[in-house]
Amino acid sequence: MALAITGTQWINVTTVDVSFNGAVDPEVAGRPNAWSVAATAPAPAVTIYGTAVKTGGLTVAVRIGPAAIPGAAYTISCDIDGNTISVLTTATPTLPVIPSPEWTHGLLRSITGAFGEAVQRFNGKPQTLVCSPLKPGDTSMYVESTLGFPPVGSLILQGNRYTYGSVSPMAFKGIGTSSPQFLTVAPRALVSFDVRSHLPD
Amino acid sequence: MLDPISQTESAYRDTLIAKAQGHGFDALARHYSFPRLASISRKYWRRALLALVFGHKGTLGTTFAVLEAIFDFFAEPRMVHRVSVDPAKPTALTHLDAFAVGGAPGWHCGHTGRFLRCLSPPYLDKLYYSEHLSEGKLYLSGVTTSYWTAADFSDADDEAILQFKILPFTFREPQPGPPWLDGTNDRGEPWHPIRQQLNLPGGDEGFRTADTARFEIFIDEFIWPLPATYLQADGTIDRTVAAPGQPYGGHIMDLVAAANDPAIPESGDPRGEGPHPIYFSSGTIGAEFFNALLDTILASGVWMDSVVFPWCDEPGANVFDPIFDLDATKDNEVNAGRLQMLPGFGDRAAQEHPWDFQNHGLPRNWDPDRDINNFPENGALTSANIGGLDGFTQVYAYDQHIYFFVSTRNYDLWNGFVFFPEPPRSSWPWGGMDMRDDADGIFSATSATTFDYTIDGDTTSFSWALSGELQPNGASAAGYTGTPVPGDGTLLNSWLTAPSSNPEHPTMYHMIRENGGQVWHPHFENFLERSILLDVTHNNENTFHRVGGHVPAGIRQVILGANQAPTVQVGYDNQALCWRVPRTQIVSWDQGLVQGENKTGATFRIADNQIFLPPGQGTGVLSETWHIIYNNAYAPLPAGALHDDNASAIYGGHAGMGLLPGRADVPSMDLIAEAFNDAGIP
Repeated sequence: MALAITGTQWINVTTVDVSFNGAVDPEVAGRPNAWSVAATAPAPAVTIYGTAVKTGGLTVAVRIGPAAIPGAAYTISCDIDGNTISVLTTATPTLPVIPSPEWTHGLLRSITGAFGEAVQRFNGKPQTLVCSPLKPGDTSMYVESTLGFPPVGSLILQGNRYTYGSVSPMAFKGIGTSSPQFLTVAPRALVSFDVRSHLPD
Repeated sequence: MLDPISQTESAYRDTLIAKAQGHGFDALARHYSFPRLASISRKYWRRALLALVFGHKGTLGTTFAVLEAIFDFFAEPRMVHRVSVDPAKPTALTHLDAFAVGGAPGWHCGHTGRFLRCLSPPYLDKLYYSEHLSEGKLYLSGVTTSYWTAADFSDADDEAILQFKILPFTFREPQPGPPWLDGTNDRGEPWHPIRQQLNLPGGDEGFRTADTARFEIFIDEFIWPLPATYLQADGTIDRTVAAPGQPYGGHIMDLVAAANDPAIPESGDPRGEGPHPIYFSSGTIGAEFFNALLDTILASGVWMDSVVFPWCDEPGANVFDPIFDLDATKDNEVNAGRLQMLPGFGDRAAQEHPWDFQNHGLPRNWDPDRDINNFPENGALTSANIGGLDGFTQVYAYDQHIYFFVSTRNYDLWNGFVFFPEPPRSSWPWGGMDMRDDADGIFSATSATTFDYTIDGDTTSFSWALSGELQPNGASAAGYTGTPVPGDGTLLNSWLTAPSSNPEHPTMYHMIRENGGQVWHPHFENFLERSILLDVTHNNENTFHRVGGHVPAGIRQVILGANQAPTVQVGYDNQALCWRVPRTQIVSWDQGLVQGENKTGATFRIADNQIFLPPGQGTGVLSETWHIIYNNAYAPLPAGALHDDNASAIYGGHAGMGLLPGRADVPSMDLIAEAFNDAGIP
């Protein structure tokens, strides 16, 4: 029997449980590289940046970021054994949206944030953190945010230079590197944009 | 941080040719005395600048590299071809793409006589020269010269597929120069340039143009294609129908200023707010901006010339794809970009393509002080083709107002005025006008439908041309297709009811307005109360030698009439009616007229229970419901006017040449304006 998705259950705006009719391989379905998500317009694009196969292998907890829009429709796909399994799911309209602390503007936070932004604009560069392990051979790098990174460019991660060909909200796609990567990069590693290699046109 | 480039990095990059962006790069180019042309993107100008700055300036290699980089802007997107090679024919290229511009797939004469750059290994970057066509193959030169490499694909794989870029230019050095230096002349005599006596009898001729070093560039004119529908003559063409997908445009901009003056936007949103520039060659025979610019990179003493020409005479010999994405099912004919020269410029292009007043009206830079000689003192308000004794209409921009002058001495039965500052936007603004058979059949339904009219004894037909004007074309053509509906003869209903053939307009008045026109009529209370009378000299009716003042109340009463058939009777031998409108009140076209421009409107009459009779025969009493009277019936018939021997005319859009000096120093205009002010007319 072919593996198929039997249902989805939205836990919150960043997590959805995807159920299968058979056990999935944790080594495949347990990594975000096998997954993709497409938001139905006008909902903004999101990225699946983390997955966890639950006990028994019949359910996978899929982490989506930035937060999904309650009531919006998303097509979640999983590539397993060369087959793409998709499901169209609507984020539960009643899901609570918890305000991000990023949007609570205390006075001191605002002032320091403004200074930081000014300094960053003056002589900074886009930086972010890896949020899902990056293994040798991965073609996608999942990060906290790709905001501020150009659509195509180069990254510096732990001394290695990576190129990427496209971005989604939380992932660099089409990762390539001229240096062999032997070790898995753990989450929270700093990713910097390689400004010097960024050429116009 | 949404910009990956910090301010510090950006400032640093503004010093680097390879990394500067935007106007920072343009500034760099200016500093290297090689300002960018706005029509060439920075990507390609950067290549050219790098070649120029880091090459040996003044040498052929650098010059060629600069040219190739610039023309890659045209060649890379549109002249890269996939070819196969055959070791058995080591100099031939077989085209692999269904290249069908002009309907002929593969190679044709437009591909011969060109430089080709190979973009694929193992022949990467080699420059070749195409010689001739044979059996559908393009044969390259098999001889190596100082300019190109000999083609030899004998060692290629049988199935090799290569990419070739065809360069849109070539060059020659007909006079290798430099001018003679110290030494001996061709007679073997000692020669020293310091003793030269240029342009004097017996002087040295070594420095004359014909004898000095020359560098000539030949450019394919099709690199500047212009869709036939890109520059519409006027608003009558719906670009979304004629050629969907074509860009907006075209704003003709200064090539250098647009790229090098931050105050001038290079271009706007391609599908939104402009400007939407289109750049032409500076003429049909020369690329003057290349001359001026590339001359700076040549060695001192080398004369530069560039020629823009069709590469070969074979029909459809455009080897470039169109740069505009036109709908293939529509009019996507591509013509070479040709800029129509303005009058007075006097170059060869202007002689070949003189300014078309008929279609383009007055050029923007028309200067009455320059273009009209011996203009009479006190400014006779006349124009070349206003004449005869039948009256005139003039529209006149003066001092923030637009003045309308009407004199209709022979056809004095009119009560309204229609004016289209530009040709109407729809096909036929009068389509809904009631048309009733006249006694002499002038306005019969048949003739009105086909626009056949007898003009001064000659039958002439008119059809609706794209320019928006009615143009005589010698044969009948359908125009008005609605069904003429007689008026009910009781009201001025033609202007207040929906046009029968175009009922989406609430009234005829709306239809006129939405076609860019303006109507003045007593019914709209916008007309007579704002008018004054002018005295005009008999037999010189276009000179306003005295201002009669505000239209007296008694005359206004006559004009307005006691019933619903008001008739203006001011067009007698020495009177003209004049009214003015502040430009700001005519929002649709207040900017459309400038001082010095003159246009002509048409009077019309809407009357109940009257019949029109020829001049001098009084006023009839029968069933005619309307006339539109063209005031200039005996003058040379302008395009846009229909009339017969007696009266009649629909839309008196006067053809182009009504040149009037709308200048503040015309005394009579001062007097007229003063009369309006005295009368309290705003």
